[in-house]
Amino acid sequence: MRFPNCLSQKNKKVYPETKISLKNRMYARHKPSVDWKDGEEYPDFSKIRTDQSFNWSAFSIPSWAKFNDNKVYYSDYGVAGYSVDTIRNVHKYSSEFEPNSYGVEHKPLTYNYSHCEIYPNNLTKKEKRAYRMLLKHNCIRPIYPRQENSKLKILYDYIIMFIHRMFVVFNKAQGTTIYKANAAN
Amino acid sequence: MIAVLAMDDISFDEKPKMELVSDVNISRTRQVSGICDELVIDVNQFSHLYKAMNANVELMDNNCFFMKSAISKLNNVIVLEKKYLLDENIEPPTINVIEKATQLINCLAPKGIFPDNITTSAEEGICLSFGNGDETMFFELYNNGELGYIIENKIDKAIVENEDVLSLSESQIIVEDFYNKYEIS
Repeated sequence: MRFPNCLSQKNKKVYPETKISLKNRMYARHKPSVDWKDGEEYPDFSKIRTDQSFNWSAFSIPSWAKFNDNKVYYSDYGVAGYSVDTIRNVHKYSSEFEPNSYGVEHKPLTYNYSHCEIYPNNLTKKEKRAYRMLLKHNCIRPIYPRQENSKLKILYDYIIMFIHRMFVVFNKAQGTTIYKANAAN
Repeated sequence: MIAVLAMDDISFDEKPKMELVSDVNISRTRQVSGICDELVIDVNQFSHLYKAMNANVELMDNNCFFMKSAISKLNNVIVLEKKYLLDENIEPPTINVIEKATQLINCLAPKGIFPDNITTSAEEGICLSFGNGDETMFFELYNNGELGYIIENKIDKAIVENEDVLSLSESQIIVEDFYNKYEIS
């Protein structure tokens, strides 16, 4: 797959966290056999990271998550999606977590304008295990390892991307910087 | 039972001598710079040796075979995943963690308990997974010395248990209890 120019940052603006809609998704690539074993429904728990890098669904289709920061395309990697609602509202799934404690922020890279990261990262090992397991249980699987989406599927993914971008445009401050304030505390 | 030591005169070019021994006494260890490419066993310090490498020697029991497989897999995983971990800026398992994982496998072997899977952890360490019916335990040994486990129910997609562990002896009891959880009395 050729690197899409629209994925380059090129002085485009950085969106505040409040514009990331709960309806958006975050896509992450997973290495076959190591991160995501063949035949498995989900990426392996041991390889899910709390400091995972993601591609924001408003500015990326799942296939673009296979590009690394240097525009190298890993065609055999799988791509899993994680809903922003899950990432921010883990307290709905486990009483171990406090509300509004976790967030995801837009941190564009030179060759990945859609790049986002989860925070905070100062979780205990126990909290990280629970968070990683919740991500595993609630992940969406756009692309299995060693699989490439068909052109029709890619067209569908483009439509989804533009719909998710509309969520951002019309998003009224969903959640505030309370995430960072709690994290700082 | 197997002893795994980092020999003082370890040479990364030497072919490892994998032999099964009894009377585990992990005594001499040392911090080596970087990670051993292969695990080397020092058999000289133990009594009651028996060599399973010789096909003419009858194995004491099947546990020896499975324990050898587990240790071999641990070794392979560490070597094969090292480059991947470094590329992902994840610290590979340290010698201490490798020793602890081997010790835990040693302690569980007489009970006929062996990990279903052995991988490195994205949280820097080693992850041993044990299955029992619909539940899977992921036991992680971290580079910073911490231990912990999380149990998931694959069918319900729920976290059953998630705790930190203080010692290897406690770890052994926890894994045994997990295995005996559904034992018919």
